[in-house]
Amino acid sequence: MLSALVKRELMVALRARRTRLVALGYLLALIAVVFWMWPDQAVFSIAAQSTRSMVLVFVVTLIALVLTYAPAVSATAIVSERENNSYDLLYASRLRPWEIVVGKLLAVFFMLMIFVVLSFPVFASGFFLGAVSPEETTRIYLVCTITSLFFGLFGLWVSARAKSSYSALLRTYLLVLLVGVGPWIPYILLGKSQFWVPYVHALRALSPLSAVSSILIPGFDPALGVAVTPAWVLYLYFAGAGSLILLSVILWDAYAEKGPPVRKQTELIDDKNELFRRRLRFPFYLIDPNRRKKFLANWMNPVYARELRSRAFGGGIWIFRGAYICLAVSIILMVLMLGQFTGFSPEVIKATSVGFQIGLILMLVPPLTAGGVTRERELRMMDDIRLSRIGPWQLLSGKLLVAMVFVSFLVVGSVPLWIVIVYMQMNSTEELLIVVAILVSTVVLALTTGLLSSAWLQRTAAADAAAYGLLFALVIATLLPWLQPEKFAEAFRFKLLGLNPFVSAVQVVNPDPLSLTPVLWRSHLIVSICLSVLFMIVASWRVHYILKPEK
Amino acid sequence: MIKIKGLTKRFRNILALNDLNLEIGKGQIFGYIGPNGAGKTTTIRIIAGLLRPSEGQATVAGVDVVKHPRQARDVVGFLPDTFGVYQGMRVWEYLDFFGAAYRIPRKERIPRVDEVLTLTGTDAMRDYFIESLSHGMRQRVGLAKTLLHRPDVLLLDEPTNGLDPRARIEFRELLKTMRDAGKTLIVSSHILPELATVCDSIGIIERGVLLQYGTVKEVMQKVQQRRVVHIEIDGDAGKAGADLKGYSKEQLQVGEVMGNLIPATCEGSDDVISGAVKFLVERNHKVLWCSEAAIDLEQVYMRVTETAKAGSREMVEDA
Repeated sequence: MLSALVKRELMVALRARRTRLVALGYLLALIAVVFWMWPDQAVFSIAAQSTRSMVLVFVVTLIALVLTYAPAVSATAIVSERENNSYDLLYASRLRPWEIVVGKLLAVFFMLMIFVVLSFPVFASGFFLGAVSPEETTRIYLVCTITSLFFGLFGLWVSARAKSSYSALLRTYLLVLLVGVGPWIPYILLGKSQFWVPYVHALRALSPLSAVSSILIPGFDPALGVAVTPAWVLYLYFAGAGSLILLSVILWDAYAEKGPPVRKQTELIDDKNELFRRRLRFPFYLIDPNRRKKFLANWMNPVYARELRSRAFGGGIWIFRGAYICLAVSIILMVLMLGQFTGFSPEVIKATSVGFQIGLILMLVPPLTAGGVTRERELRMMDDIRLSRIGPWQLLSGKLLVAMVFVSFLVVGSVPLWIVIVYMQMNSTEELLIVVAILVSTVVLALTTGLLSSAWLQRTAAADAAAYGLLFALVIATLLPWLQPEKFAEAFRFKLLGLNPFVSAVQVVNPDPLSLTPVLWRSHLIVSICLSVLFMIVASWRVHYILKPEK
Repeated sequence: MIKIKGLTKRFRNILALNDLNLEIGKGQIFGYIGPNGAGKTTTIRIIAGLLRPSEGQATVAGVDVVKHPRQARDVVGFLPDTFGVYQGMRVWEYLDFFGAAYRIPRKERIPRVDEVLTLTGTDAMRDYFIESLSHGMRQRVGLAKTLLHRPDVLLLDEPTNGLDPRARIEFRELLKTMRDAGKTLIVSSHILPELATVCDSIGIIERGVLLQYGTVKEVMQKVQQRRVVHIEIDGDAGKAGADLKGYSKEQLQVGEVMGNLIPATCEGSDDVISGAVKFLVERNHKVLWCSEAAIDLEQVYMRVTETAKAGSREMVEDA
């Protein structure tokens, strides 16, 4: 029974064109890594050292791929069955709940393992040059395997409780980013304080990126004078225990037949006094979902208004919750900075605050637009859109505008950080304006990347993964040439670095570490604006094609 | 109102529509019947301007849907067999959105939303979240959305699928109301008795070919090769049957008498039947009544599509 379910899941997934495309893209990326980073030194030890850098780059790529792809395949596994009305069919069969859950999990796991297996040739080359030992290879594959399992379970857990695949994807990506990257934030902030060192190092070890770094980078684990458990071991314990807990929770939900919460038929409120009272209560509704709304004005983009009503304020308050979380994190950072608990210089504080803002944008923004077109398809609304007078530009601009409103809520949450910067007179007005321009251009780039992915791909899950993939490539791939600078021309390296929003913004607020480099922010602004315009044009052209009568 | 000429649609090597010709007048309900995969939805999607035909012409209210699909959308309202809804929206907000999407000015849109809600009997559901509605109610809201821009032609693809008997009857009445309002409707359905009662004309399509087309009566007559007549006699039915055999063997074949009933089959016009009754009366047989056993639309459908296999389609030979 179980094998039938796994077989079906794998068959459907492997038949999908996107799987082949992702596998092809992954292989091409691996080939590029090997091609560019292959050592050209004849001395064996130097060759081995270069190959070690290559293996590190490749392992980080592999982990990033697992983190990007795992939510795409697992977050929709159960909720899409509900959306297709096939979940009840599975339940009505002789399959037991655990078989359904484990079947789904195994299918996701096997899919992710395909990418792990595809990486064998690169490791083979590492062996050939003596870059990695069999022991290290075993540890790396152990980390990759447990990561696939752990993050696959994350997606399944969210999928079992979500109402729609859109919200499942969004929540899963946020959780994955929180667990994958979040443990590094305390380390960045408090890593130099003697008191906090053991704790922040232990916390950092919970990220899979720390686990692989601990295996491949000597001295990654701190020397504290006492025996310290290596990060990769701590990670294995954490991910193993986390997987067991998640599996238990999913199985519990499955046996209890616990589905997503049903939307309450809330009453509309006309009374102005009651509306005012609600504004003073949590969650301090700026725009009350229960307020009776007016008919759309003639000048208003209907897509924009509809997105606002149905997704943000049509009952859900996740956007407010997100803004509150941002605000809370921002205030904590502000207090830490003002109190100088960290012992950091003002430059480091500025760089951290800018990094926090850009990280927030890259983490939260892509899914806001990545479902723009694919959701219409998944909800079977595309025919209705095509029959109406909504054109491609109106559709895309509506989606873009509403996403910008969401982003503005999240950005408002980080205002305290800016207050600190201004209060401490850390920067000139010009520098602040440049940083704001970089932030805005990064937001627009992230949004248009989401729209582009959404216009070209069939499913929201795939579009989300593609948008994150493109943005991560922008952040990570632009740094890769610096691992082996002698292989790339200086001008090329700097041009590529100019694409990186973190480096460009940090250089503005804290030029010391990057003083030797040319000014990057101008090229960054030009390239990101040009890319955003290009993405928007391509997306519009594609939507124009979609809205035309089918051939 | 709707004119279709030589409409052909190929999907790679599958011939979905083959030289379809059809004409539907204003204010008519046209029932479109056929097995699964026969080409009903393909035809409807072409008329709605959502699908481009491989060959042929289709005009709706004088607008060529092939050349000017966007213009055609103003006069056409399309309700697909399965349609989506936006979650987290109330019924009136959903209609307001589509009203704005059809560029209906706000001033007109406000009463228009009320109007279609009343017309489709969903005014009580106005403030409900749309995803919480039952299937039947959603179907009504879908129809309300289709009526928003006051199209002259309504294309309803399997509109009564999944509805309970009461909802179906109500929906049928709704269709009549639309027709009375001067709208032209194309309704595809598998539930034939309901089409028989509301449709002015029907078309039976199979494997992309329109097999029969005309008013319900015309199609029935065409399909019913031999008419079956029952005559009830007060008295000796056996003798009356024997006498009737002398009427005209070429025109009327008399069957075995059952009690007081004489069954007979005939080809030809009504004159043959009235002539037979007159023949019996002239021979002093008391004729209580005479009626023709009409076949229903289901039998017509079965006869016309008896060679059909659900889902099968003709393969086009490679040129």
